[in-house]
Amino acid sequence: MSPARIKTARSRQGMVRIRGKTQTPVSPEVVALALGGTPAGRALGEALDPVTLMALRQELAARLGSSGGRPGFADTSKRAKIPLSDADWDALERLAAGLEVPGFRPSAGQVASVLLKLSIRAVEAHRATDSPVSRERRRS
Amino acid sequence: MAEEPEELDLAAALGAEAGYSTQCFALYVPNRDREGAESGTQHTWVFEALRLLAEVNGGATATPPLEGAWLSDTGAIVIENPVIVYSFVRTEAFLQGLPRIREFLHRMARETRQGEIAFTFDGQFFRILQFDNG
Repeated sequence: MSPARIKTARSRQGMVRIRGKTQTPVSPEVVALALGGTPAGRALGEALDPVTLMALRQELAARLGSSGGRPGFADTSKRAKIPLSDADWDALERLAAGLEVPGFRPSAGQVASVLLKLSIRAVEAHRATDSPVSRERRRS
Repeated sequence: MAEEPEELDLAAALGAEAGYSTQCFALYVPNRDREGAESGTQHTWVFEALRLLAEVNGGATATPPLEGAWLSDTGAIVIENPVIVYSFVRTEAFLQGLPRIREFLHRMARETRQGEIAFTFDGQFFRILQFDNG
C-alpha cells in the first residue's frame, strides 16, 4: 500500500512589486561579445533554448508596445483556462516583476502568454529540423 | 488565482537613490591552474577585481572561497576554491568599462594558467575558452 500523501497547508505572505526607476537593462549577448565569452550551462532543454529572458523581454516589448500600463495583446483572441500550480503562477509573477521597468509592466498572464508562444514556436522549429524528412535531407 | 502584488517604491521607502540595478555581473577568481596546482595569487586577483568593479559599478563584493570543481579537457576533475566577485551594474559605466573588464579577465586567465574562465551576467553563465594575447 502506498503511503498517504501529505499536503501542506499554505498561508503565504502577499507579493510586493517594487516600482521606481531602474537602470536601463543591458543585453547579456552584448556583454558576452564584449568579454569574449560563450553562453554555457543552459537551464532549458534544447527545444526551449530560444526562451531566454532576453527573448521574453523583447517579445513582450514588441507585443505590448511602448504605451506603458497593461494593454491587452493585439494578436491574441482566445482566453483559455490552463491548469497551473500555485508554484508556477508564483514563478510567472516573479518573472513579470523582474522584467518590469518604468513604462513597461507586463502581467504574469502576459508573460505566460509569451512563454507559451515562444515555446510552441521553439518546439515546432525543433520538430521541423528533427523530422525524418529533415534528417534525410541533411544526409543527402 | 493569486491576488495582484502590492506596489512599493522601495528605494524611496528606504531613502535609496532612484535608478536601482536589476542586473548582476560576477566573475570567478580561481586559486588553482588548469592542472590543479595552487597559484598562490588568488588574493591579489580578488583585490584587483574588487577595485575594478567598484570603479566601474560603484561597488563590488567578494564571497569567501567556495568549494568548486572543474572538468578539464582530459577528463580530470580539478577541485578548487574560487572566490566570486560580484557587482550590480550601472548601465552606462558598465558598458564603458567592458574593455577594462575583458582585459582583466583574459590577463587573469593567462597568468594563472586557466583552461577556462567564467563569468555570469543577468543570471546567465558564460565561459571564456580562448584568451586574448597580452
